[in-house]
Amino acid sequence: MITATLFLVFAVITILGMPIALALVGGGMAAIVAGDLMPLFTSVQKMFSSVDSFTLAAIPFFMLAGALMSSGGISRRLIDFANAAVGWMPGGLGVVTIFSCMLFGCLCGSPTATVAAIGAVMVPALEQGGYSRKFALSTIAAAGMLGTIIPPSTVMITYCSATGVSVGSMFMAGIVPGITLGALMIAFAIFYGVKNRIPRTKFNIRKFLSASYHAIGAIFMPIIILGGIYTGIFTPTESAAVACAYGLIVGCFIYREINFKGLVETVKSAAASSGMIMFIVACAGVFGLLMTREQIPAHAAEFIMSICSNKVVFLLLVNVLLLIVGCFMDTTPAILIIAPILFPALSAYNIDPVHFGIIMLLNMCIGMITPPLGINLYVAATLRQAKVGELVNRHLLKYMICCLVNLLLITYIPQICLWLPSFME
Amino acid sequence: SGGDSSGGESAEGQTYEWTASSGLAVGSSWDLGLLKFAELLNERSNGAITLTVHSGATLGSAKETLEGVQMGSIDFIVESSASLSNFTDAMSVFDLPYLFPDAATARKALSGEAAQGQLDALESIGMKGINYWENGIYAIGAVKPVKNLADLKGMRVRSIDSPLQADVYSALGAMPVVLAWGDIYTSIQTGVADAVSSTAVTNMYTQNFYEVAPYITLSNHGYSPAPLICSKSLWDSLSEDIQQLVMECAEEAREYHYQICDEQLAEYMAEMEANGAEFIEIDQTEWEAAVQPVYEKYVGEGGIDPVLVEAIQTDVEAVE
Amino acid sequence: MLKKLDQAFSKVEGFLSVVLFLAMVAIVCWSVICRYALKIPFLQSEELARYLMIYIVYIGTSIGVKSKSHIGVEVFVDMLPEKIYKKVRIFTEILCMLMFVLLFVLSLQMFNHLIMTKQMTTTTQIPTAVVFFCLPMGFFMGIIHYLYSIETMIKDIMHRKEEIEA
Ligand code: NA
Ligand code: NA
Repeated sequence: MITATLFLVFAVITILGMPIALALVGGGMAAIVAGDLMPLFTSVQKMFSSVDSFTLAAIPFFMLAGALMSSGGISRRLIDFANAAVGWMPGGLGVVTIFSCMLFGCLCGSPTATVAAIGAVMVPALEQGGYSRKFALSTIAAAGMLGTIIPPSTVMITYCSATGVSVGSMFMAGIVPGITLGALMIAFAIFYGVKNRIPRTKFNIRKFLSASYHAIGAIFMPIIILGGIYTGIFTPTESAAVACAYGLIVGCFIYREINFKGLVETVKSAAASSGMIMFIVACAGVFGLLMTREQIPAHAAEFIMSICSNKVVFLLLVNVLLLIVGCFMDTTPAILIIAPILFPALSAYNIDPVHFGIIMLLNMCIGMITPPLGINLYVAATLRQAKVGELVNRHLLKYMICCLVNLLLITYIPQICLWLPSFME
Repeated sequence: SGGDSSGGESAEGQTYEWTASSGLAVGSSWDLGLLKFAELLNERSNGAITLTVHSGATLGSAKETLEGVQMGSIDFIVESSASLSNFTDAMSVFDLPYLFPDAATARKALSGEAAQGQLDALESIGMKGINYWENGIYAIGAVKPVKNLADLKGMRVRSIDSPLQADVYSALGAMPVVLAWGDIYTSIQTGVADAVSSTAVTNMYTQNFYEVAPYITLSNHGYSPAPLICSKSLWDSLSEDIQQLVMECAEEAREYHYQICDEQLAEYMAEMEANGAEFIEIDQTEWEAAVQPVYEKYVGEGGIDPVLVEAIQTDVEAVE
Repeated sequence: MLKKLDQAFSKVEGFLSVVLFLAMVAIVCWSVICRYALKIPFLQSEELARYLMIYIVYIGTSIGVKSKSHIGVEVFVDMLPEKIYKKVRIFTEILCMLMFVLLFVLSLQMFNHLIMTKQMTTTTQIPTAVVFFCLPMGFFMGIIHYLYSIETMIKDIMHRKEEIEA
């Protein structure tokens, strides 16, 4: 009854075309009333605490950094540079986008921050390079998840704390699956570039050198971000703030493309985008709380264990469950709830806990790009003030197929992820 | 706190559906203790009481679940005294370093009159303190061996965001760095921090901190009790019989929780040692002397009642 | 009247978001400098940055109402014929506004609860209620934006009707 109310109200508000955030909080509040579960104002308490996290601050920071880069002329110079460097390759810019996400993902565990940070530069670059907007947005939404699989990853740490698996082993196990997924996506981008005859420029060394020269100030930006995190000067969230400061200085004083009025507009638009994304995060917290209270994922997991004794069927059903949960719940609570329930059963099915962790992670990642609720889709859409419907297209479907192929490979060939950690013992 | 439990008269056939929250993971001493509590309640009430336990902070952060207890959306909670400091001054005395010399003494001293009085003081913020469980004794996990204060000098030590805790590390000669719980592992890996502290020894294992900070100094510089709390609105609605039953079951569950704590500590330390961690014992006197400025700053004008501190110290001496 | 309020709140939102956002950048950058160059602890930074962010989020939520950037799944309503579409849009806009009213009332309740319980923040020791205030504030400004938007939509329909009748 409570569960039915939760999903029904969510569905009705969604179908009416109202903001997805209101659908989430509306479903949650209706369920609280239906079950007389707790005071209704618990919902606003949850809306506050869901965004009360310093790690989440990376999202508004990278949104501001992105806005400052584009209004300050940094993005344009980086785009020219990228075009001069890889414009001659088939699908070159698509490849660069995905590769940047992998590189950024090596340092930052947040998929949404990856989409905001890389997308701010690469989506306009892709469009300018002749790729369709739909392809550009789908690419960044999908590639954004790579950072969660490629270590370090806070989601992995969450899994390890819930199950007692070593973080070191999990990190090692994520490397190859992250690379294979990145490679699959890159292959698709190249295929797209060739098939759609995206115009290719001839490589010109003089043009390349001149673009590099003009982009020196801009190129320092990723170097500062990546270098700073790698050498332990700051955390990923802090790096986002440093990126804003750097973008501000370069845009206002070096390239001099931002004046005071422009600055106000830029910051205001970044505040609106952040507000929009974080409002969804806040409202999803209310929906997730109800899922937890009603123990919906827990009951589903117990149900799966009760009906099957076969390893292959078990993994398949778990994959399906996680994909569905990933549509409605944030990654961290979902892992905290489901992992401890399934974990004790793993030995009975003869499944390695590290292997299982990677499977969970991949599933939750796919959940980030599945409608109606895929947080990466929403962040990508804000990059271009697009409708989310625009992102649900055949390109996104193909990226999902890449993910599913990768998932199947890893599910049935455990060595892909277990090979590297085996050296640690 | 479903609709069933409202009303309060323990009429025949009345059932109670309660919710409990714990911030530590499934399988932790808090989780297992609460499950024991739930089992005892159910058994002794002949099935009238059902307590559902949500562990791993799935109902929310410490701040938000404690608010939930105040508002009556969560019925029972185990939470560390440090988290309660934002809600009341009653628990901030336990933030003081070296208030207790070790965990065994702390457990006994906490049943003394002074500490029990602080449980009762929770009533003023809408909570009924039942009894003290524990979060554990603090240690320092570092990237290099810390055998004395000279080794600690200048190290960047992760602290919780409490000013008192941070002052403890400053007094010990280190530089406190505030990091969110989820950022600790990678921050030590990349070098943002050199050591992790303000956390119990068991967490070094459950959070895998020992993988990146394998030198664990058993400094005992803090002991964090964790009261078991009932929502006051629920408590006041219960009949005396039920209240009595809750108290009895909580007492037994606490003993079980202590037993789990001891077992897990031994097991985890052995496991960590087997995986390359090194445990370092220190001479506590040098450290105790070093943190005296923290007492001077926070006791008295700093907000912590000197009479209370003395009363607890008397209880500690009585135990010793 | 509604139009003036709507514009006034827009200005306030713009001003606040710029000041708070830049302050947040400055605080976090300063904390990195404190830790690495000056080697002194700056404990309040994490908490201050977090609370500034929450303010930005709820001011941003209200800006999002004004700029109509809160994303929904619009494929289904887009399929409706134009006449019905406009009416459905007004209906859903009113529904959104009512949900904001509900959230506003609830957040005032929560605000009141925080004042009654005198909860303080950990490092900066300011009342949590002060931080939480951004929720009722954001929702209130959102309600004004919704009201103005509804007024505009209704006027638009009336205007069309008059045009057709004339
Ligand atoms: Na990563
Ligand atoms: Na999804």
